[in-house]
Amino acid sequence: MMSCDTAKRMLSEYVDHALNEQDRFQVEAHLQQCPDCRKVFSDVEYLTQRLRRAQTVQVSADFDSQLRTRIMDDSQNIPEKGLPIRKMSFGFSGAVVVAAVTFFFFSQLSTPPDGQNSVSHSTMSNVRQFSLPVKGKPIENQTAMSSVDKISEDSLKNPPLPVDESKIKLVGQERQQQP
Amino acid sequence: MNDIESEVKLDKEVSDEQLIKRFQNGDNYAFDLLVKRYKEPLLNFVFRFLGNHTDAEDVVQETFYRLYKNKHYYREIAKFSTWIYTIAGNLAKTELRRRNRRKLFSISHYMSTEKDYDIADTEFGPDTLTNSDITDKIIQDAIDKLSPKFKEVIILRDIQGFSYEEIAEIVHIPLGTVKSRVNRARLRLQKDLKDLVEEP
Repeated sequence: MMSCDTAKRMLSEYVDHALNEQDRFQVEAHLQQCPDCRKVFSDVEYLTQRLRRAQTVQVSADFDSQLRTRIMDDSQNIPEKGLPIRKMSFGFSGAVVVAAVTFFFFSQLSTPPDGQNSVSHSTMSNVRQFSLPVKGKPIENQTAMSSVDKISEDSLKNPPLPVDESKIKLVGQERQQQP
Repeated sequence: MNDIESEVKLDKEVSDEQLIKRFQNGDNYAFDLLVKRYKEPLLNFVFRFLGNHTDAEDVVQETFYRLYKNKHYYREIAKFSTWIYTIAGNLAKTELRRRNRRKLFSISHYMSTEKDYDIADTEFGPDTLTNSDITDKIIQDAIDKLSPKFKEVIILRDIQGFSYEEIAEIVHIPLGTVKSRVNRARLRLQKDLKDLVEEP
């Protein structure tokens, strides 16, 4: 037999007569066996009909005249075409600020600290620090290994180099030998 | 045929979509006819949503005002009725949110003053209302308790009589979601209005 949850999921379609014949038959079979669901279905059918008969409200007598007044008031206050002056002044002052900041930034970069007008080596290196990373082909695995990694790998493969221990001077030993 | 006869004919025979087309082409009389057709249904929809006549009328005024201002946004791919109900529904939801924020503020204000307030219910007295009015008020209270997403679909389905497909278009949700929401809203109303149904 159909469960109560399944029957309640089909409630709306049952009330709206939108269920197919097979589902409808199953729901009705369940309702014959289940008084709780029968009560719920009957209540919902009553409420659905009651809602359709709910009292209606009317618009107030001056609804149309109020609407007309509002539309006419609005059409008399149409803003001028194009950008309003206030917006334009904001845009202009914004552009001035951006230009001033850009000018200040580049003038700082191109003027060396010693006051020379020519672009010195140190200035160029400063500029390089601000440069964006260059897009290019990805480095392949073989070349991607850094030089430090390669050195570490070689030192592991090769046998250790012979060391002349007499040439090694530790800090303490050096102090003792000085006097 | 004189002007009045032709206007009456226009009122009865022309579809909403034809009227909005004429309005888009500059015929303001077509706008008047759309207002005439939709002011009452929209008011009832929004009134059930907000539970207040004055607020509902403001929302419907705003809906028509936006229709007038934005008539060129309407495209014939949608039915005019679903389009105008979508505008009204969105405005009603905005009003509901605004009201909830205001209520939250006023409750916190009252709580901070630590005073008791008895608010008289002037519209709900035995002398002024009939049984049908009282039943309606009880039903409206139960609808008010629903969350906006359930409230909207149950009003559109059971009070306004839209099909599930039309509701899906108005609310911009899938058909399955509409069916599920209507089902849950009906079960919730049944639970809240059990006593009303049990009355002889």
